[in-house]
Amino acid sequence: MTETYKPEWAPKIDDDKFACRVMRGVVGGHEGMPNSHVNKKSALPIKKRRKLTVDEYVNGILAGDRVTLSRAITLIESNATAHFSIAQQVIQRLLPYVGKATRIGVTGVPGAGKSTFIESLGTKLCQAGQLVAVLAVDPSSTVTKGSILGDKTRMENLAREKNAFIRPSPSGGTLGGLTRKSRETMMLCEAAGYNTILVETVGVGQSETTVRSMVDFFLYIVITGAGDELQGMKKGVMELADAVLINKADGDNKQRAMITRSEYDRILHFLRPATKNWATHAHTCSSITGTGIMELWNDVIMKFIKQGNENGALSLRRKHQTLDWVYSMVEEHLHNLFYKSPEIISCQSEIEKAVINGKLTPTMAVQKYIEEYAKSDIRNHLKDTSPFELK
Amino acid sequence: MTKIENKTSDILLKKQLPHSSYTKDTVITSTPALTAEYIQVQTEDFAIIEGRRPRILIADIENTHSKDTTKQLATILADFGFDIDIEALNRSPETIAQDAIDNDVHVICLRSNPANYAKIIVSLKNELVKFNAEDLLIAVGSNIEAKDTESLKELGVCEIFRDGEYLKSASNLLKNLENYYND
Repeated sequence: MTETYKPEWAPKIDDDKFACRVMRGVVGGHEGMPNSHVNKKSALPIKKRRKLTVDEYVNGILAGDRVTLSRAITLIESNATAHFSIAQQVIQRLLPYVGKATRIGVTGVPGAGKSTFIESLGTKLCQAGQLVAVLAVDPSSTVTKGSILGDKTRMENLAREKNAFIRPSPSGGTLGGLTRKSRETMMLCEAAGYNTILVETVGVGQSETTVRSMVDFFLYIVITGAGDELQGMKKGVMELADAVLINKADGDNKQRAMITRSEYDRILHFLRPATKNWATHAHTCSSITGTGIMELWNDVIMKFIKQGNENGALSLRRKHQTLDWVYSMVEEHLHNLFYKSPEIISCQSEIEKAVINGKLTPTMAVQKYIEEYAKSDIRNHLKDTSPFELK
Repeated sequence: MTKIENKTSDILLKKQLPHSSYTKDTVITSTPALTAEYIQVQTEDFAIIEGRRPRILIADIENTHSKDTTKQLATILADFGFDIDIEALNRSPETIAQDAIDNDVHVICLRSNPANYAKIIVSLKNELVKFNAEDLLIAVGSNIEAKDTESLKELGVCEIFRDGEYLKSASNLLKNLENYYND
């Protein structure tokens, strides 16, 4: 213990004039000393996530298992090519079990009260014994691609219900208010036994209407004081809605909500209805006090479904929606075929560089891309990018 | 699909060099500076391989910190390219586990008072076992003193987000995630 040494900051000249010496302290790391657990291994044992097989996915979902359902939604939403073919197989196997639920799309401007409305309606439906699945979409950043998903936070009561399944999803840069795979996600929830599907879009403006091509009933939530009558007459969301709902009709706002309602009703009177033989009307409700919510459900939505089933409008709508689904999948496949073909990947950085340096005009760059793509053998990489094969 | 050779982090590294100084085959060996852009590229890499962005559920339990720091952490992580779920305040470990499973997140980030962590983490882990989801990572978002780090890590906490060290922590977390999820 008496071992001493010269401090490292001492002058380098080696003589005895520098008398200061330093004694080493005690070493920790054994019992009873501070830092005694320094040498213990604290690294976590690496436990990789087990991959599920198609059978496990299908059986789990049909049994209504939430863990499998949520993992299947992840699989469906995945952009990785490795997940694509297994996801398609799962959907294929589940197709006979879908189509029984009531699909309702809820849209509106940011802050109109979509989440609060769904919370209020969903809780009431759960208490009435229904199984409710909510798909809530929040926007992804177009700059950093990250996202903040807060819709579920506002559905505190609904999240506590055992009969409810809420799944927030980032929009992933898709325009139109939904994710790329909302349609498939809805199918998975239906196969898992949920009989009411509520789809909440991102807060939208006037023309985000993708959700119309996926749902039976399309509800447009508006608030008081959002523009004059002309705003409502513009083409876009208004002419696609099956009902317009003026939210926040409570307290001081009630009077204004009634006025807004009559204004919207007047406009709707002029518009062509979105569904044949169905007169679209405006309604008021308060998600906070709960007035008007069940009235909307029983007198409007249920009536609409009943009437649609009787006159065949709903089954016709679903047939058209299947056709929409086909074309959106064609677009997705073409997109994948192009951007994931080896020819495009290999020339991408060079073309980008040439465009940035001004050596290529944008039109010429596009032409070069197409030329490169025309050289490629589609058959060759089709099996990498899609589950389909050319015969 | 053949493995993507030109990973985006390499592309970014190439972008940092002047255009004339590299060719398509430039091999870069030096480690890049830890910047927000670099982490964005790392999350992008993760998203390419995993098919979605790394997703974190941030849960506040009896947190005496101001609520704003949670929002700050959420915003910063979202800017790094993570998908962030924000849990309602003061939920039980049972609810947090259930939400983490429903949303299928990669990581649960807890924020509470340092004294509470041991209790919360143990019960959260028990809940996760019930769902057969022990593979979920648990992180902690507060200024834990260095001497308490080891005991938290022994409980199974993979990363600690201290104020002002978000860059480093996010980068470590991503490395952890890659070990867990990628083949």
